Amino acid sequence: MILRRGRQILALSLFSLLPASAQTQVSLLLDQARAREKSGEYVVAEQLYQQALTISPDDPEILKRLGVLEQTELKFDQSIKHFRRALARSPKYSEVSFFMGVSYFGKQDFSTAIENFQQELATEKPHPRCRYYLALALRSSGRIDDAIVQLDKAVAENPKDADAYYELARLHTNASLQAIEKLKELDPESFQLHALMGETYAGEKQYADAISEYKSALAKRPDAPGIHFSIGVAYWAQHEWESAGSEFLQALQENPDDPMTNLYLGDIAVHEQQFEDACRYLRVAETGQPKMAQIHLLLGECYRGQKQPENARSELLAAIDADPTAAQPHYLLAQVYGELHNPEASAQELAQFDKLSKLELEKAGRVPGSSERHK
Amino acid sequence: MTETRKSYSFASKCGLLFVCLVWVTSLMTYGQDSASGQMSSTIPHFSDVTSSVGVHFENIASHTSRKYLIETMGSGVALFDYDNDGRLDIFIVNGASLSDPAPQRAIPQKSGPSDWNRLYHQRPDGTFEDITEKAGLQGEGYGMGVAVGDYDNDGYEDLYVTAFGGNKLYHNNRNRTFTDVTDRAGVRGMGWSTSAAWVDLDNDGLLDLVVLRYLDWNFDDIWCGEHREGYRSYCTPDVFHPITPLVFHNDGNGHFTEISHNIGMDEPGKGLGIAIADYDRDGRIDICVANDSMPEFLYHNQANGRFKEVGLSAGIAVDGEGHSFAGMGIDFSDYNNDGLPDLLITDLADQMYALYRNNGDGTFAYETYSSGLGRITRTHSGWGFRFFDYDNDGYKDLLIAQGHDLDNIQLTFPNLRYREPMLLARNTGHGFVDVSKDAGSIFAEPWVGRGLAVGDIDNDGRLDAVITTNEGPAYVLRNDTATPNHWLTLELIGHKSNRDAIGAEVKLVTPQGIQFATVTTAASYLSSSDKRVHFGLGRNVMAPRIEIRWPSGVHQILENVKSDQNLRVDEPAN
Repeated sequence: MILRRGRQILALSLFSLLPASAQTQVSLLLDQARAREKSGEYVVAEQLYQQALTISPDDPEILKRLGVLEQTELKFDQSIKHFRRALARSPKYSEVSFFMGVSYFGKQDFSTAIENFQQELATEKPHPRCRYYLALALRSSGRIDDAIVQLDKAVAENPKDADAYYELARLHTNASLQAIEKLKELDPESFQLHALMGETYAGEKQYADAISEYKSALAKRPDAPGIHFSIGVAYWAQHEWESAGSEFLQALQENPDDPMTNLYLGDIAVHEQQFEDACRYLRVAETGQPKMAQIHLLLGECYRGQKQPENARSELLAAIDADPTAAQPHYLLAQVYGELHNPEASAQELAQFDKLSKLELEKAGRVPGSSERHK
Repeated sequence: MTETRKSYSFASKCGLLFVCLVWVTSLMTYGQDSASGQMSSTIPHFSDVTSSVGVHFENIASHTSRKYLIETMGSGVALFDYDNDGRLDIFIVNGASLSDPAPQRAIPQKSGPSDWNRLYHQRPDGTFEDITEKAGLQGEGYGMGVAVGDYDNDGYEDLYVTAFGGNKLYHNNRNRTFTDVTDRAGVRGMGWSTSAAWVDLDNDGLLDLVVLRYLDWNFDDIWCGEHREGYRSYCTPDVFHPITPLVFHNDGNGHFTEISHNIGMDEPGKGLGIAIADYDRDGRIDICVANDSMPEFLYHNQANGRFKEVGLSAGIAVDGEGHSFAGMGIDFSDYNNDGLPDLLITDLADQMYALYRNNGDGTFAYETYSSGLGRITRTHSGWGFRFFDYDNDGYKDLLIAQGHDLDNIQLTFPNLRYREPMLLARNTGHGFVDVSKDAGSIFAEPWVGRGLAVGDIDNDGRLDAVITTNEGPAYVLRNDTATPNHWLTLELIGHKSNRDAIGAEVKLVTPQGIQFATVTTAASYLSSSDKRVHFGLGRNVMAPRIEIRWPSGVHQILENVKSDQNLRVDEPAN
C-alpha cells in the first residue's frame, strides 16, 4: 500500500539541536534503520528508531519515519500515535498529515483520512500523492463527484499520472454503469436507455448494435433531437451512404445550419459525385467551422469535379493551411496543378504527398510500405 | 463442352452465316454487316458446365482457428493448350493441409490427392479428364499461382507454379508429361510467392520470369480483430513487412539468373497481381504490380535495360482521392479502344475497383467514378478478372471473381458479404453497366471467388472462363451469349521473338475504329489466361487491317482478314 517517501526527506528536526556526538549517533542509527528496512528487517529497524528516540525524544523526523515503518507493517494505530506526537511537536511538519491520512485510510476511517489529506494539501509543499489519496478516500466514502474533482486536479498538476487517469476512468465507467442499471430499473425499454446503449455501442464501434438501439430510442420518442444524426454517423462509419444520407437529411430538418450534419452530407454527396449538392452542404458547414481542414478538402474535390480547378486549388490550399500534416490534400492539389498545366507545381505536391504519407504511416505505427486498408 | 452446346452453336452459326451472306453482298466495301456499323447489344448468358464437362476440383485452403492469412488467399488457374491439340486444357493450383496451430516456421506440404494441383485435359468432345498424376503435376507445398509460358521456345507450354515456401518450374516434355526442373533452372525462390508473369524483359527472344511475393510472413500466431467470440479475423497486410519481387532472367540454357536488383525492379511490395503492357508506346514492355494496401507499382522499362518505379507520378499508385487500397487483381488492357493500354485493379469493398485511363502522355486518369464502376463495385471485393469481350461487340467487358477476404466481415459490416456473386460488367463504349443479373443463374450464386482465367474453351468464338474459389470448387463457365456479332482469334507464333509472342501488340482496325491488345498470359490474380488474342468484330465480317508489332521490333500488317476464325500468325523474318 504505502509509501516510504518520508524516509527520503532529510528535514530539519530537533536532531540539529543535539550535541555533535549525539547527532552522529542518531544519524548512524537512522542509516542503519533505513538499511534494515530495505532488507525487510522491520523489527530490527523499529528497534533502531526507538533507540534514536531515546537519544532525541519527540524528534518529528524520527517519529515520522517510525510511523511510516509501522504503517508499512499495517500497524496503523501505532503509526497514528507516532504521527500525532510528531505533529504535537511540529504541527506542520512535512508530510506527516499525509502519512497519518494514509494510516486512517488503511483503517478505513475515510472521514478522518480526508481531514488529514486536506490538512496536508493546505501545507506549503504537500506530498505529491496526497491529492490522489484524497480522491481515493472521497471515492471510498461515496463522494464520487468530489473524488472526480480531485482526480481532475491531480491530472492537471501531473499530466503523466497514470494512476489518477485509471481511477478517473474507473469512476466514470462505474458511474455510467450505475446510471444504466438505474435506468434499467426505471424502465428497461425507455428512450434514455436505448439512446445511452446506442452511444455505448457506437463508442465501441459496434455500429449495427448502435443503430438498433438508436432506432428503438427513436421509436419511443420520434422527435428526439440528435438521434437521426447519431444513426447517420453509425451508417456512415459502415459506408452505407444511402442510409446515412437519409438520416442526415432528417437531422438537417432539426438544425439546418449544423456544421457536422452538413459536413457528412457533403462528404456523401462527394462520394456520389453529386458535386453541386456537395458544395451547397459544405458551404453551410464552412460557415460554422471555417478552419476545418476536411471541409476545405471536400470543397476542393467538389470544385475539381465541377471542372473549376482554380477554386479547387484555393480550397485545397486552405485545407493544407488548416492541417499542414495531412498528405491527401497534396495529392489532390497535384492533380489540380496537372489540370492547370503546371507540371512543376504538380511534381512538388506529389513529392510532398509522398513524404507526408510516409510520416502518417510512421505516426500510425504501421509497417513501412503499408497504407490504409479499410479492414 | 456438351453435345447440347455443340448443336446450339452450330444452329446459331448457320443462322449467322445466312445473315452474313446477305450483308456481305450489300456492304462489301467496309466488310461490315450493318449500315450504321453500330454494335449490337445482346443479352449475356453464361452456364455453369463444371460437372457436365468433368471438372471436379475442391480448393484446400485449410481454415484454422488461428486465422493464418494464407488461408483466405485462394489459388489460381491456367487455361492453356498443353499438348497442342488445339483445345484449351485447365490447370488448377491447390493449397495444402495446415496444422492448427502450425509451427511458426512451417512449410506446409501436400498430404495426399485431395491437396494436389490438377491438370484437366480437354477431350475432343469438350469434356475433361484428370491427368494430373500421369503428367506429374501433383505439386508440392501450399500452392498459390500459375504462369504459363514456353520458356525454351520448343513449341510446348511450360508451367511455373508459385507457392508459400518454394516455387516449381515444370518443363513440358512434349509427350503429355512434365519434368520438375526447378533446381536446375534456379527459379525456386523463397517466401510467399503469388502471381508470376512470363515476359521477355530484354527482347532477346527468351521469356524471363517475374515472380511477385506478398509479405514477409510466417505462421506466427497473431491475433487480429476483436477479442470476442467469432470476431477474430485475418490480419491486414499492415501487420507485416513488404518484400521484393523475384526477377529471373532466362539465360537460354535452361538456367535463369535472379536480376531484380540489377534491373531496378526490387522495390519491396505486397504484390498480388501482375500485368504487362507498353503503356507509354516506347517499344519496351512495362510491368504493373497490384500491391495489397500500399501504393501500386508501375515499373517503366527504360532504355538502359533497367526499370524505374513511376506509379505515383504516372497516377496509378493511389486512387483518385490519394488513398491507397488493397490491390489484388489487375489487367492492363485498352478498354476504350484508343490504342493505349489502360489499367484496372480490383480491391476490397468500400474502396471501389480502380480504373485508370491511359492519357497517352505517360500518365493515367482515375476513371472509376466516370466509368460507372464506382457505383457498381462499391460494396464488392474483387480478385481475379479480365477485360474480355463476351458479346463480341468490339468493347472489352469485365468478368470479376468476388468475395471478401474476411469470413466474418458481416459481423462488423452488415452490408458486406464474404461470399459474393461474380460481376459481369458490360462495356457500352461510354462506361460500364452491371449486367450480372441478366447473365444467368450462376451470377446469383455467392462464392468466395479468387482466381480467374479467360479463354475460348470450346473454340466457338465466345470467351469462356474458369474461376477458383477459396475452400470451394472451381467453376467452368461456358459463354452461351447469343449474338450476331463476329469475332477473330489470333494465335501469334514468334520466331525471332519469344515463341509465345508474349509482349506482341495487335492493333485491329475496322470502320468503327481500332482495338488494341497485348499478347500475354499474365493479369488477373494468381492465374494465367489463354494467350490467344481475341477480338469482337461486331457486325464486321472481316477485319480490314491488323497491325502486329512483335517484341523483336518486326511490324506486320494483315489485310482483309476474315472473321469467325482462329487464325495462326507466324512472325515474319523481317
